[in-house]
Amino acid sequence: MQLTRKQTDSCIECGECTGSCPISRELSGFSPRQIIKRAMIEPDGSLLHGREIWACLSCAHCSERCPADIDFPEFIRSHREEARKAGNSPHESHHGILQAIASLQTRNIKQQRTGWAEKVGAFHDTGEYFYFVGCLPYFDVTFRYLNLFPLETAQSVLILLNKMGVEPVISNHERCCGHDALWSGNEAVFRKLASWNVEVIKSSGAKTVLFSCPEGYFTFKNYYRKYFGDLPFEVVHMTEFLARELPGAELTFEPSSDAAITYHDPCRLGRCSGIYEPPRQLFQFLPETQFVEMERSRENALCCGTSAWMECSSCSKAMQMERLQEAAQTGARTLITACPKCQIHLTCAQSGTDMDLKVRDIYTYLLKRLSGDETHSK
Amino acid sequence: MAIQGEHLNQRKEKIGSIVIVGGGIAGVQTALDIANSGFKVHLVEEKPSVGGVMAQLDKTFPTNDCSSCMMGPKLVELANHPNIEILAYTDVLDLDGEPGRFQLTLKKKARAVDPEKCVSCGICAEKCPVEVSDPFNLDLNRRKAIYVSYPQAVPLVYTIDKEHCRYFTKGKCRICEKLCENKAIFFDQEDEIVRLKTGAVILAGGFEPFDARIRGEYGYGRWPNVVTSLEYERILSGAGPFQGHIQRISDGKIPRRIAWIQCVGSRDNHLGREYCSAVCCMYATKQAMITREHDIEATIFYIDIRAHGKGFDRFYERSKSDSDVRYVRSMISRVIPNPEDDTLRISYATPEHHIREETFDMVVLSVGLCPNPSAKQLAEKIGIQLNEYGFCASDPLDVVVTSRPGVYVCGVVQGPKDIQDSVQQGSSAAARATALLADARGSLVAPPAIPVERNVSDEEPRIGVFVCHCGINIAGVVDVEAVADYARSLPNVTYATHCMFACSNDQQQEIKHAIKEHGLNRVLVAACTPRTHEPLFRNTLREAGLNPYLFELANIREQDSWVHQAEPETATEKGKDLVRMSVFRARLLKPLYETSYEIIQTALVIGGGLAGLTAALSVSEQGFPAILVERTTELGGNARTLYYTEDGANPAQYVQELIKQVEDQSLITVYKETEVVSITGNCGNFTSTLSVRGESEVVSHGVVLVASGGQEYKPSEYLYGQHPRVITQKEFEAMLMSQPEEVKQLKRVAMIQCVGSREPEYLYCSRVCCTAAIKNSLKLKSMNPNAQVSVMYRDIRTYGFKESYYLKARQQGIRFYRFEREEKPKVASQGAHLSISVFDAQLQTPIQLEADLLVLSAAIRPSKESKQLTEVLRLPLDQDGFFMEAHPKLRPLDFATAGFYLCGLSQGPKFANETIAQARGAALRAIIVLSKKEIVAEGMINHVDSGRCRACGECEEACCFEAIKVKEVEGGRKQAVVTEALCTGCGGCNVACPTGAASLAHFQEEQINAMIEESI
Repeated sequence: MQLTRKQTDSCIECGECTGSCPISRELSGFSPRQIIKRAMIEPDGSLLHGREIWACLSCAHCSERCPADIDFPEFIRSHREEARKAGNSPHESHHGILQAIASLQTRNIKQQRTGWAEKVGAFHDTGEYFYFVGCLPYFDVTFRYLNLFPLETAQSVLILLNKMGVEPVISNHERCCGHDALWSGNEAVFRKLASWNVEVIKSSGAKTVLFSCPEGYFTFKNYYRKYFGDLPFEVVHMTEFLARELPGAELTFEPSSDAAITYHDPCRLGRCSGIYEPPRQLFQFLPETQFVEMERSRENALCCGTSAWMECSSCSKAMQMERLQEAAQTGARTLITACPKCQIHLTCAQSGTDMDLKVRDIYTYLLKRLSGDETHSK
Repeated sequence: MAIQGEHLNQRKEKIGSIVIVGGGIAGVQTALDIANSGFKVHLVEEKPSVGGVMAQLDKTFPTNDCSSCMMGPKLVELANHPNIEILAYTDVLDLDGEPGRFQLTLKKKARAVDPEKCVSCGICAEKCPVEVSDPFNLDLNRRKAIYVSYPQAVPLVYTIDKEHCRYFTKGKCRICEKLCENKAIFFDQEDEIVRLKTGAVILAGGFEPFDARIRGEYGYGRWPNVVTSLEYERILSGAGPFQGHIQRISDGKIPRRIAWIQCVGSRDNHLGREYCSAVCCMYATKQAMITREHDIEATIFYIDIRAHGKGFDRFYERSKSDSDVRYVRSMISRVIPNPEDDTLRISYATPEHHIREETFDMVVLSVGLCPNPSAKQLAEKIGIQLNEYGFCASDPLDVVVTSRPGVYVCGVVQGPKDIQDSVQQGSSAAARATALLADARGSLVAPPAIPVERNVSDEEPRIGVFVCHCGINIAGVVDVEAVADYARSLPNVTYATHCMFACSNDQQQEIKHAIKEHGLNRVLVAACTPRTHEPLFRNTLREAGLNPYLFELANIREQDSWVHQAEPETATEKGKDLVRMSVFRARLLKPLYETSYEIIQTALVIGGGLAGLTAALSVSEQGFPAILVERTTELGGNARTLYYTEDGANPAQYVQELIKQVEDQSLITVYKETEVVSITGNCGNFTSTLSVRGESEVVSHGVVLVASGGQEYKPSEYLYGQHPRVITQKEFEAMLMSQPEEVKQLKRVAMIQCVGSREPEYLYCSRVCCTAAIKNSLKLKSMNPNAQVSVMYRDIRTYGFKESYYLKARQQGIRFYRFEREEKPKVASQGAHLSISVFDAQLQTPIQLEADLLVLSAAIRPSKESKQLTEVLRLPLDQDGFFMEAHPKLRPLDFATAGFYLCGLSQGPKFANETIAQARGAALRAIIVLSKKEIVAEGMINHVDSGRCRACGECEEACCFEAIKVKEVEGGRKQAVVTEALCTGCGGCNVACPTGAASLAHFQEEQINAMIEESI
């Protein structure tokens, strides 16, 4: 499971990772090239005891470029468990509430996870498709202060699915996918959450699991498979599903007065999963819409600045501002992303500035532009 | 053809012709070597003209010689060779048959121009209304839809670009057809299928540069000032789109700062291209040095600098010390454009672990070499195995041999390599192919047609002057037009002009034309050095019916434009002076006549190691006797203890088989415990005295192959010889083979690289040590997986496919620590063990290592015999004590002295398979001489005026060649007599002669005095 020594050994010390790293730019002295070499020489040394191990965003800029094909994010991840054991923990953001919520879900708790859905559409306990909602209900109560309503994303997905003739399973027993636990060195928490989820989905009889969240998709696709072997269901991202099914679904979209739109590739969907095209295909369904790319897009897209709700800092803020400015430079007024965390982080960074980009989630935006839809217009 | 085919079938005769597929430098060299050794050659090239990528280069490393000028003479020889047929714009479709008797199916693509009628006057292109981007200049400028790739192209025939031609795309125009006076335009011309019989096939299909668009983060194709290295060659070239002025693509402004990014498309596992392209470090260094001459800052971003070839490290060091090229060891993640001024931002990791951002006006991407897709396709079609990267797979030790018998390979299509290695491999493939067909030598070649010589003895001198631009090499400094105008005003100058490249094939036609039209009887070219170019122009005169000695070369490049770059006006005046001097000398030139004499068709091979054995066997395979001289009691040399290579070959076993073959070969006479003590004579006719176990023996031979070998340096550093646990890499290899039990006990093995290499007094890379250390580390790991191996290095130089073993070593957990020359590892004895401290240059921290064995990668030094031989043979050594070839790119296998060839470690450090290829190549170069019955002696020899000779013997004393001796002549009188075949025209006797009786033809006193008088 752990990235083996052999994989990092193949480093040829070229330094491309360090040059690629957005943290190295902001945090003087942070250098993946050095970290790998040091870890080779003293495996129990400074990596486990320093702050660097938590500073990495695992954004995969470096591994995307690495000529020796080293998966640096995975290398970092695999050492975080040990770092924790050595008493080295990350700074948790938002006072640790999101970590607490995740670990609570490892227990046999009673959740109210489907209330939002009852109001807007049809869903079932069993069926062909399973919509994995992820943490949106918890984010919804946490980020009201930013004037964000992450459940709108889930509601939009459900409405779109219904309109396409799909009435998915939405389960009250679903748990956090475990992504953040996995990436902050809490493998035990991840395992518990993941085995819950596998059982819940199995019992629904679903053959296809749809994800609106890139982290859930990435975690299922890669880590669930690693921990639990082949899954008895297919893992599909909503943008993939929509890009494939929309053309035959007889849904039409309306023109709008919005100026140009641009799109921010989330790390877990883009570099980590290779899904670049499907979200862009969706924009082509929107009439009279000018889609513009940011200077850095696809595999070059800048990260939104923090991961796994930890180590949020001035460094994160600098990256977020850089990203927002890049979006503004395109002339677009609407910045669309496909990840709730990217939306939260970029919205947070913009608050208190005089920038007025609309940071929107892709599903909510699509639904807003859908012809003849009044159910969800706000 | 059918009847001839059946006839051949019955007699099972081999066909005395060879097809070469690919007309780049490798193919061109192969074609010339084969054609000059008695075989017919068909050179097939898919593009409209030959020349390949070398024709696009500005200069070549490590000498910074002009690429066109080096290629020019070869292309001229190729174009005019009676035994070479060039089939340009032709594709190979299929290959049938067996070695010695193949049938090749070709498609001659329709040019829509009749090559027989086209005289390349260029009117068609001038008037063609369609402009398209010019692929020869990498689309940096425009050409017409009817075109020649470059003005010096061979064959010089126009071709219609059917994709863009207005007639072919829209059905009307035909302007070119109307204007062509020779009626050469032929719109209805169709592709023609041609079948050729041939004895052997050589694939030399070359490469294509990596498509930089694949690495989108560098912005190639999006940001105008990001260019590829090949584009930059065209930018630098005087014949390129900007006439050699370095300028930005976006605005034509002169850049102030340029960055090079290395390994674009190379050493990149992520892209499935883990191999190293072997040439980019050196070409970037070259480009940066030339760029510095324009006073532009140059920075190279790299992983390791791979300066593994002969003279490369000195070149690299010079680029830092003399040219101020900056090198930064960090790869670049992306190039960020600044839209306001089209500058480019790059950020990189500094040694202090920081990120630094810098702005450049231009970025050059050092793109790697990829297999040529059409060569790859052809190889697949005719059943040649490819390696995992798509290059032709070949035998690990005999690298020109492919998986299909009778089909050989050379150049980059076999694997990334530089021009020198391509040329050597070309000669080697030629040796292999001609050995296969040795019985058919001479069966299909035509005797050269030499026109009748015009008698000019009664004519007043009529001199034609041709002033060469040499791209911008000369014209960039000297006002060549003014020099030509001035020449026109000089006495006896009938005609004077200036031209882009005097040495190009089209220009030879111009010179011949001018001789005829203006009745010239002397020709003066003001260009470069006679050392490389005189034979070419002399031949042009010969073909025009003039005696070749009526040619004069004024060197306005090395002696003028290159040394007076900063003073163009004075340089122009000096150019005029040089031309005037030469004109006055040319007026006095006299025809000289060469005599021919018989060749002794035997080769003397000095050195019985891998190189010498291979060379001797190669010579004998072609039916010529060889004398093999070995200093020690045993044949085999260093190869006897080369037990394995990284790619699974076994040189030790190979050399034992080779020794057996040599000893069984009746044409080879082996002398062991023998040294050459003296040599007299000249090319084609040598007499040598050997000391065979102390006894003198005299042998006669036509050529000499020097393969005196090299040896591992015995270190004086790092406790070698003082501590029993410090050994060399070769000793370690022997230990791995003979003491497996001890090897299994090793816990910690340390290795130190560059011991005795890359030092100020030995400023060269020993080429093999990185791979040897990696090979031995992997072997150790396979025998003893728990052993910890630490390699201390300066740059890892696993060039070409060897890079995959470096990656493998890394993956096996072998540790690499980089140190700087100024901070070498320190080794201390700790009882039976060693303690080593090394300052890791990457981490910037000291590392402490314990080792129970320290292995030193010791340098390769030339054998002691080299120094002694250089005196006996009068051959030059380079600064490092290796023998010096005639020219590193043009003639890497020849000495400057005719009849002498070199190969193996005596020429420079190299791998076993490179030695084998080089030895075969050198043997073929020698066979070019041996395969002729007669050789023409130099006409430029000494003459003795019998009236003035006092028979004092001073000349005899002065002559190194025993060519002049005091003898009794008619009437019992004594006089100095010259043996024409031995005289080299060196002039030594002229200087010694007290009376002026001895005079050198072509350098007579009045000729020299005329020049001196004009110079004052």
